[in-house]
Amino acid sequence: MTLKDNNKSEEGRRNNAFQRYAPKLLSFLIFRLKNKADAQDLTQETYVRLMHVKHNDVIRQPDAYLFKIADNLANEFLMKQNRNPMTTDLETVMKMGKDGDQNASVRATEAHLALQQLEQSLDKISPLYKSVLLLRKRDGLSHKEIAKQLQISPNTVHVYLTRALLYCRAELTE
Amino acid sequence: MSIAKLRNKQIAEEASAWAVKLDAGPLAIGDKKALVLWLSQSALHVDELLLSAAIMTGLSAVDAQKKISIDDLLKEAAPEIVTLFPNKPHAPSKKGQSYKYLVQSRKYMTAIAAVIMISVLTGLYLFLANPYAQGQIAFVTNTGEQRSITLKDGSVVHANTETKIDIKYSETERTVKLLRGEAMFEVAHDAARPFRVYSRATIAQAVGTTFNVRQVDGVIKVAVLEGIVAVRSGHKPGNINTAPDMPGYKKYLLKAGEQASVTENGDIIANANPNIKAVASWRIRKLIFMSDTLATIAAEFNRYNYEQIYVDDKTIAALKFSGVFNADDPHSFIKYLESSNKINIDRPRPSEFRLNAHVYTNN
Repeated sequence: MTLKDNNKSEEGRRNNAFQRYAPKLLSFLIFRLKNKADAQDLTQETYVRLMHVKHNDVIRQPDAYLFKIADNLANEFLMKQNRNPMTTDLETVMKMGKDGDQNASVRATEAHLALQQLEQSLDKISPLYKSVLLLRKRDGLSHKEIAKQLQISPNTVHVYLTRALLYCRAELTE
Repeated sequence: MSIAKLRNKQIAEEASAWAVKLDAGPLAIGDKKALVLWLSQSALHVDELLLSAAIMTGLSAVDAQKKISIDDLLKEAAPEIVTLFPNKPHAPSKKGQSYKYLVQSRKYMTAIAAVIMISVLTGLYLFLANPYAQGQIAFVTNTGEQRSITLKDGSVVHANTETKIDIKYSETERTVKLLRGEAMFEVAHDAARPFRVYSRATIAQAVGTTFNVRQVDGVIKVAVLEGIVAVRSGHKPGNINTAPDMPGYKKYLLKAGEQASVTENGDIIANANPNIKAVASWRIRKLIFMSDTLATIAAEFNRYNYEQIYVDDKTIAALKFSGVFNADDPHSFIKYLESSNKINIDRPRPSEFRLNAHVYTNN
């Protein structure tokens, strides 16, 4: 596997692998929510492959390597099962109405269901964590901007976001 | 499912922190190395990070129509904190006040701190009953040494030179005892467990803020850099069963930019014009003086260095100086004094500077 060395342009970019792999990560989420056992086989294999990449290469962009490997494996896995590789982007999901679109593909429906699950998980977390999470993800504010708005330190913002995400994760999975 | 029931709670928690960091922007090189090390621990780590990162990504599609109001959420958040202490008899009237303030200003954190401040010191008794229970961390810094420790909840304790600290976390309270010296606290928010710093008979309490506590010659100085801190005095070490609401138990609310001193007899004196920048300057090992006396300045340098400055002449001890110096470099200050032509400096041995009035100075 090769990963384009774009270290220089990387520095100028505000957001990194996380943003580039957003559609893939979303696909992974849908996959994982639907089929935990397969997803865990997949991450097991991802781990093995990640450990085989040259240490110096991984250090340069650990997140990009991780997401890339997981995505490749997910596609391999689905090809074996004679299914189309899952590629659903956020825009498709966001364009969909709440009631679902009659013509929507199975994939988009799955994405929609995942999104619903996410929204439900958010309902259960405390309003404070929820507000910090919405400011970051829905409104796209930086940690610093949130810190300023709520009069707390960026370190506290980080802690709140971590807890909020952990709650969502706990709510989402069994 | 609750977090407590998660099978891999620790890993899930760490994965969550990494996902938040990755989402915030490119990692620093040190973080990249740490992430690789973390991932290499097991496949479970990989699984948890992929899951957390995927959830974090998916969350950006939530509530695309922006139907949820952040202001409403923040208002809704307050009652949870109030109900934490339902047994406080005086609470209702004061609670009302805090609410008004919250609605008016919407300074959410301020309101939480105010509400917590009026709460009972429930954890105090537990702490006093068993101050040396298990799970306690203690650490000491030597002359000139500074150390920062990140605690389990994300709070950070920065200890200055010649400081001794005991830390104990219980279910109801995050307890820090400042036995000597000075420390700055960046407190991670946890409304259920107030963060309390005990120093002699003084208690400084916060729920999510940054503040500095210093013990010097029996006086406790508390300065707030961010948020709100409740300061209480009157808890006498010899009489630990004294109830917090008994007469003689004083309390004071400090806002960001404010400073107060608690004297040995428990009086809390607000400092009218604190120089908060100077209070916080030790973190970057700077000493900032604004018309401070030579005696004060010498004592400040002496906290950080084995080379001690002695002011032998009372007439010069009250002379005032201003300036910014490196805490580790008393020489620069000595040179500055020499240039003033008011002070005579002797160095009988390498570890000692002796200051006297300059023989040619007429007052």
